Amino acid sequence: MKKIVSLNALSAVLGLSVFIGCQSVMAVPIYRGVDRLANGNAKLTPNQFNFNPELSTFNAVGIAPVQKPCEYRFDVSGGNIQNPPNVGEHGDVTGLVGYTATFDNNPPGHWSIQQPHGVSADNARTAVSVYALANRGNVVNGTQACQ
Amino acid sequence: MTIRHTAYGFDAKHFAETVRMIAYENAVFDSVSLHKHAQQTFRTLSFSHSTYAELLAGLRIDEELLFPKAGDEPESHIDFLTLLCENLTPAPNLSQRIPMGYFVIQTAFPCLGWSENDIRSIIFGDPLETLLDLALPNAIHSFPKFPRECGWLSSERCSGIIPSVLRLIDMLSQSSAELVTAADALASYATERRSTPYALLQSVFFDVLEMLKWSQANQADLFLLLEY
Repeated sequence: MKKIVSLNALSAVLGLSVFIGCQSVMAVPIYRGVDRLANGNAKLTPNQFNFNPELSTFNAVGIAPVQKPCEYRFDVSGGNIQNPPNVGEHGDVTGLVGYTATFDNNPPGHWSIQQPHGVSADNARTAVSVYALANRGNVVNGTQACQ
Repeated sequence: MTIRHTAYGFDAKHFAETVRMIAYENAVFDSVSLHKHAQQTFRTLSFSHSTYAELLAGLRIDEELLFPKAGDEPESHIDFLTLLCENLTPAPNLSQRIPMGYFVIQTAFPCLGWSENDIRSIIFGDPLETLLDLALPNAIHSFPKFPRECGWLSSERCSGIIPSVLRLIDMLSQSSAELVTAADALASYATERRSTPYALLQSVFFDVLEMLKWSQANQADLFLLLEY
């Protein structure tokens, strides 16, 4: 009996956690439009990830001002990002140590990825490209089918 | 600023003649010659000319595209753009007063009676296929589609749009229903920017006017690009 009560108490705690979880999100997907090669592969070379001075991404496919044939997904986690996010909230970019993404909503839905302090824009775009090429599974379709 | 509008002046007729001399032999398009010239231009300028390198970066053109691996075909629209970039000089753009001026235009101008095509023209220009047709008539079937984030406006087109922009500026001193609707459409965006819709509208009106008047004064055609 005592054990059952403990489990009930535990599920009550878990229930509360789930409730809290509805307000902050575990990971936010953000998308960068990229070009497409003639063979259908998304182009993931450094010039697709220019930092000027930050890398521009959006929280949904198809809302960027420039519609690209393919999109590349990054995940942002940590930082207690709310759902929906508030301007200024930020988190870490999964797989890219030291890179953070901030929701600036300018234009609407926009997130900026910042490189670690001391990393040049050139090195940052190369690092993102290396990550993207090693994680091609994050490619999603844009205006065309991509792989 | 991670998205920015850029504008450059050039002489479309001169560029068209240059391309024709390079890649038009007996009224037949010579893609190999176009490609060789583009490669040569890239080699000469990409590491020594900062405006040129910035333009290529904005267009996402790199060595891999201009020097494709064996078995991969060069793409003629990339060659055409690479040669065009050599002819461009910076001009006033739509990110001068407000970095996201393009967004303000896209949001507000439909309320002010501008059509989707007119709005597209002042941000992205007319499709580059029309410039290609000026340079290499009937060669369009040999080209993949040009990217839609860039385009061009002839000096005559720019002059023709100026009266419409002056009418917008006149509206600022009146409280027309269209202006109020446009301001309403920008309200939440302006609040987030700690600005007012009217301040945003005034800024973009003058950015548009400055860009078009620069073209008119210099008799220069414009190449427009929204870098993202």
